[in-house]
Amino acid sequence: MSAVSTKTSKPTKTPRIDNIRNRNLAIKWWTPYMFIIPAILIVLLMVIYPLVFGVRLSLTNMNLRNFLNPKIIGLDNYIEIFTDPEFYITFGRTILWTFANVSMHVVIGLWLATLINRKLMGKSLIRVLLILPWAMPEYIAVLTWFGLFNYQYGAINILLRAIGLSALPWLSNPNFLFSAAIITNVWLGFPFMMMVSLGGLQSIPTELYEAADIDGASSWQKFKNITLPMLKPVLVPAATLGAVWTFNKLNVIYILAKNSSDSRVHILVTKVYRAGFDYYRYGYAAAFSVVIFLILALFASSFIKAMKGTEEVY
Amino acid sequence: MKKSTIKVLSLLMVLVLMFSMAACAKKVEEAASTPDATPTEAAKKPVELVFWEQEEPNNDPIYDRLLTEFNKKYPHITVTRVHYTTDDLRSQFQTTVLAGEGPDIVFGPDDNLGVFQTMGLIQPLDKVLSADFLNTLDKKSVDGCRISGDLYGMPDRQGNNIMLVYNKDLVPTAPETVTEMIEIAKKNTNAKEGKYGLVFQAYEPFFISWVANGLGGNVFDEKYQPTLNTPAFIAEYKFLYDIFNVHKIIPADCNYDVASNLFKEGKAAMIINGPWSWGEYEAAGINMGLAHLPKLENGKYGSAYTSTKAYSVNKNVTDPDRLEAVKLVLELFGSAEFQLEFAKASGWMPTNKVAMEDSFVKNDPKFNIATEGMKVGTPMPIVPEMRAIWDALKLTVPDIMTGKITPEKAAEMAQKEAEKNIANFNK
Repeated sequence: MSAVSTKTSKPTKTPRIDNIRNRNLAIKWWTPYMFIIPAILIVLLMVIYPLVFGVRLSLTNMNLRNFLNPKIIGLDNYIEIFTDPEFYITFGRTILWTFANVSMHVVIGLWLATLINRKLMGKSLIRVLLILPWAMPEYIAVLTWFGLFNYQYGAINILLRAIGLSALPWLSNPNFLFSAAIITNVWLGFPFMMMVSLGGLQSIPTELYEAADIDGASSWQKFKNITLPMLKPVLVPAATLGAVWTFNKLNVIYILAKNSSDSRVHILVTKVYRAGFDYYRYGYAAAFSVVIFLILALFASSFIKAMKGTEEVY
Repeated sequence: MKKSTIKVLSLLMVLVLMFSMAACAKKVEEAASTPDATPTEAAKKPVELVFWEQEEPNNDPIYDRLLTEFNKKYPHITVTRVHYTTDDLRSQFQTTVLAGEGPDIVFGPDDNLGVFQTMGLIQPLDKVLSADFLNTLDKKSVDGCRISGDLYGMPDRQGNNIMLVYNKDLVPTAPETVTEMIEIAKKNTNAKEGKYGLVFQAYEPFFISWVANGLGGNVFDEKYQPTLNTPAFIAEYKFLYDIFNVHKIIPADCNYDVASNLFKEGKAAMIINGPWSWGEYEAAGINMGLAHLPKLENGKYGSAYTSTKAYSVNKNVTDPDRLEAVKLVLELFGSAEFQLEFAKASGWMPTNKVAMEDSFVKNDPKFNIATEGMKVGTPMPIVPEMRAIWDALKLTVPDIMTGKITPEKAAEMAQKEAEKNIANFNK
C-alpha cells in the first residue's frame, strides 16, 4: 500500500535558495523514497517474496514423492484444476457459502446496529454481549457449536424436539453440515458488521434526520434515503473484506466436518488444505491458492468499482 | 548534497548491517554446532544435538532429567529438546530439512516414518545402530519401522491398541464373542433413560478396524493398492450397520465425546477405546474392566491396530561425530530404565525386551491385558497411503449409521474412493 501511495505524492522541486541555506534538510527527488524504504523492504519480504515463491511452487510437481527435488512442470497443475469438474462444483459452493454468510452478516449487523443506535436501556451491556461472538477464540467457538449440533445431545436438536419438530442430522448429512457451518459462521461474523455499521451510523449528522422529519418522511424512507447511502462508504469496503475473509474461511468447515471425509462440504480453501497438508501435494495446492488469489483479486476490484463505494457522498 | 547523500547512505548501511548481522548470527551458530570432522579430536569435540518430540507435555520432565544425567556421563554431548504438537512437528520437520537444516533426531508416531522416508528426509539406521543394540528390542516392533527392508526408526514404545472397556457394575463378566457382546449390550440399553450398551467414536473407522483385521482383511495388496471391497470389510461395515440400525445399542451421532461422557457417567455399559482414555474413566469413578475385543465368527479375537512411536535421524546428519552422538542418545532411549519410566507415565508398552519382562509391566493388570491385546493385534501400515484408506473408509460411515446404504455398497464406494485418493498421492 505504501509503495503505491507514494507515487502520487511526489514532491515539487524546492527553491534553490533553501538548498544553499539549509543544505542538510534539502528535499531531493529521492528523499521520499528514502522514507519509505523500510516499508518497502517489509512489504517485499512479507508479501512479495511469499507470493512469488507461491507462484513458482505452483509450477512444480512438488509432492510426497518429489519433495526434495521438485521439477518445473509448467502449467500442468493449473490444467488439472480447470479440467476437474469438481472444481466448478466446489467453486459454486464457495460462492454460495460466501454470499449466504456475508449477506446475513450485513443484514443482521446493520439491523442490530440500528437497534443499538437509539436510546435504549442497558445499551452498553447489550453492546458488549453482542460483541462476544467476535471476542471468543474462533476455534473454541466452533468446537462449542460442534457440540450444540450433536444429533442426540446437542442443544439445537433438543430445542427442535421441544417445539415439536424432528431432530436434524446436522453433522452426518453433507447438506445439513454445510448449513450448520453457515449458521456457525453467521454467528461468528455479524459482530464485525455491527460494529462497522454502528460507527457509520454515529457519524451521520442528525440534521439530516431532522430535515427529513420536517418533510414528513417515514422511518423506512429515512433508512432508505439517508442511512443506507450514508453508510455505503463504510459498508462496501467492510463487505468486501468480509467476503474475502469468508471465501477463505478454513476453521469453521474444517472443525465441523472433522468426522466427515465427504467432499460435498468442502469449499475451495478447505480443498486446498486437504490437498496440501493431508495429501502433501504442495505444487497442486500452491496452484490452487494462486487461482483463489486471482478470483479474489478480480472480485474485490470489480465489486468496489461497481459499488463506487469508496467515493465520498457528501 | 554530498553530506546529505552520506547521511542517507549511512542510514541504508545501518539497515543492511542489521539484516546481515541477523543472518551472520545464524551462520555463526551453525558453525559452532557443526564441528569439523577431524577424527583425532573426535571424542572430545563438543557436539550439540537438537531433538524434537511430540510427547505429552506432562512427560517431558522425564526426558529432561534423563538427558541431564546423560550429559553428566558424556559431557561433550548436549541435547536440546524441543516440544511440538504432532501436526506441527510433521510440517516443521519437512520445512527445515528442505532448507538443509532441521533437528538431528525426531520423535513421533510411526506413521510419520512413511511420510518422511518417502520424502527422503530421514536416513536408514542400520549402519548408525549396532545389531547388538537392535537385538535388545522387540523384533516385531523394530520390523514395523522397516520400509523395503531398511530401518527408518528406533521404536521405544508400542501398543496403543484399543480394547473393550466395560463397567463392572453393569457387566459382571466381559463378553467372549461378538454375539455375546451384542446380547449384553441390548440388555443394558434403554434409550428412554439415555442408557446404551456399547459406545465408541463411530465416525472413525479406526475403532471398528478390529473386525476386518480379525477376519483376515488387509487394506492393501502388496503393491499398496486398496483391497477394501472384500468380505472382511463388508463384515466390518455390517457390524456398524447392525449396531445402529438393527440392535440399536448405540446412540445416533455417537462421536468421541458423546461416547466418553456416556461411559464416564455410567450410562454406557461398554466402550471401545485405547490406553490414553483408561485413566480418565478410573478418575471418573467407574469400576472399569478391560477385555479382549470379542471373538468374531471365525473364532479369532478382534484384532486392533497396534502402533509404535519411534526416533528417526535427519538425512542431513552426516558428520561421524554427530552420528556417534546420535547413536549414544538413541541407545539411551532404547534402554530398559528409560522405557520403564515412560511406560509408567504414558501407558505404552516398552519395546526393550528386559523392560517388557519387568515386574511392573507383568503385574499391572492394565498393562497385562493390553499386552495380550497387542499380541493379537495388527501392526498399522506406516506407508503414507494409509491416509487415503482412512479417508475412504470414513466416507460412507454417516450413511451406514443412518441405514441409508448397505454394507456391500459402502465397501464398494470405499474401494473407489481409496483408488482415487491413492492416485492423488502418486500424481
